[in-house]
Amino acid sequence: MKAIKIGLILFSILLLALPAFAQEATEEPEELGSAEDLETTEEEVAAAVEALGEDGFIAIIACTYSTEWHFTVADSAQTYAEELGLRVEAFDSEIDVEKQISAIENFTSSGADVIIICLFDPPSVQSALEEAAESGIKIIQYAGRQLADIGGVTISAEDEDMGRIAGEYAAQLINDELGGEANVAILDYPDIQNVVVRADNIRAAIEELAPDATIVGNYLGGTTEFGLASMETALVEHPEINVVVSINDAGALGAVQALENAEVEDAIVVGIDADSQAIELIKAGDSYYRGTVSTVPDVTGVMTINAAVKVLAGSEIPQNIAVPVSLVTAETLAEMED
Amino acid sequence: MSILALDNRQDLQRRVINIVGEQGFIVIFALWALYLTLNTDNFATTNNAFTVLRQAAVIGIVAIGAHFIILLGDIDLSSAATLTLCGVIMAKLMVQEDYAPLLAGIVTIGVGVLIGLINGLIITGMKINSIITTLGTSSVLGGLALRQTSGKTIAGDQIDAIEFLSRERLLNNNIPLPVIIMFVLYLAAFIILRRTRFGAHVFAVGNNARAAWLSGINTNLVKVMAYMLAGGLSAFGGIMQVARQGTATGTMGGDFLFPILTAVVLGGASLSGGRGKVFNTLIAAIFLTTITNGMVLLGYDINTQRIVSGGILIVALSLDRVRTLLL
Repeated sequence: MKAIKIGLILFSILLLALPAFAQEATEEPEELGSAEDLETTEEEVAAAVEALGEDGFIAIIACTYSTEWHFTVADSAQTYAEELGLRVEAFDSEIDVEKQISAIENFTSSGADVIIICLFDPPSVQSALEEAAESGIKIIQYAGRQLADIGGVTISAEDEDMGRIAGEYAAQLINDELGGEANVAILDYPDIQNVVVRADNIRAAIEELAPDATIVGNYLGGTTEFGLASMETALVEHPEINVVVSINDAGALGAVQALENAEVEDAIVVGIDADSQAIELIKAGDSYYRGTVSTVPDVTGVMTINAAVKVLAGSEIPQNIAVPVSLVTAETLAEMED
Repeated sequence: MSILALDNRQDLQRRVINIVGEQGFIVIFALWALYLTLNTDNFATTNNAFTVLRQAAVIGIVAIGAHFIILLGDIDLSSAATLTLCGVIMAKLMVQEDYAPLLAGIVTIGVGVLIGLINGLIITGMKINSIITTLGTSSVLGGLALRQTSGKTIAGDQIDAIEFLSRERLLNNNIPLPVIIMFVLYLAAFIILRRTRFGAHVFAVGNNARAAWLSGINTNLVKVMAYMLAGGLSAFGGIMQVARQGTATGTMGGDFLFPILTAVVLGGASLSGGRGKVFNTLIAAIFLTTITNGMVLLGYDINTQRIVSGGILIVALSLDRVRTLLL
């Protein structure tokens, strides 16, 4: 009897806790500015240098330096800032919340004027950033839009756009080359909410534009090893898979290896991020890799510094700014070379 | 019922509980394999069996080194970082420095052995706890790997020269080479542990380091050698992983530490040292791979896969505790 009572209590607690597992809705930003809104003048740069004074600086807090995309954003921002004569300090959070919180606190106490930050767990660092904002530090977020609520400027490509463009291109190839019929695997990485949005939009675009294609399932990707292992097993169960669309290039590169290992003759792989290895394969033309979506990390880095200059100079800028997103294929690469 | 019959029954009961407790994960593995055989079309096929074994190869090979370290009563948290750094070094030497594959491999394994030597010397010479030491070296090695790659993927046609380590099939084109390498290394580890003086010393140090020292065993040397072996195996795991994915990245081994250590612990090796069967580590590494493999074959979504695999692991690890409670 006692056991039943304890069981009922635990069951009630579980029921009460269920809402905590619900997915949070993503809020759409209202109006988006563009890279043109961030173009700076010499006067603004001079004003920014003056505003920093002798001790001030711009802090860049990266999510990680371990992926090409994140490394390029932080590195190009730092290089560009130094070219403009702005003092800058960069920090690698290594996808560690505690390290990121400490970095925000340290930069706040050491006199940063602007913090440019990439967030991977926004709620956990919100309070440290609010404290920084209250002490007068300007906050600029890239790769996300969560900081608009505390008055931060956000500079980000839209994950919806990335997923949709990758899905649309895959659907186009399915229609043009496979007669509209294909067996599609989507490589996902559900740990990051933004990435789930990409996968959802890949699926939606394929279902809409290539309705006769069969989406076999979502598989774990995100890293080359996960993409490789997932696709190896998926190909055992579904050897008919001939199209793979991935939420990033790292996972897609694993899928390419799995398809090669399984000696699949013809397949189509599309990724996102425009990693150099993916671009090499697309350019070579003899690989399954057919396209990727570029979110121009070097441009993103420059945009963050331009935003910092504008903010330091006291100029008006839109609060939410979109990073241009574009499809990279063998054709677009050939056009660029011409 | 006579007293003799009752004794026999209790004895049988105790033996069953002992087997289930000591080899519990094998029981769960067998049940899981049976479930997958009945509920999927492709689990019990030769093709899938070799897919599983090939996927288990890298973790299985590095887990041999982790097994030696755990037998000593230590833990090596730097194995995945060693794998990553050595994979990056291998790829860089081949792609950017045009080293011949064999020379690049020798240098890479040498670096792994050197990392093990450093770990061993810090632990034995400075008497610093193995967890703290290897946590520190893991951070250093991870940083070095990222610095070497700058976040980029190292790729190039030169890596094709070692792809045979992942793709080649031997014995009438049937058995993948990585699977054969893994089994050969486990056999060698078994022989070292059970048939050599060094193996006996590893068990002796793990059981009671002071008693081993008093009986004349150079305990520090045994530990340093075990760490060098583990470092070399991690480096070889890195080479195998480069061959497998055809590229190297600064985070390529980031997700390997958990399955490497889990394979050893799930295989029944005691964390306090001195007890463990190396072939059980091999079976556990294969079991861990079949969990993910089975989930994909069953068509479960990714989040459900994580919940169920965590549950299976907890049940498998709990059986030893059940044995202790029942006996």
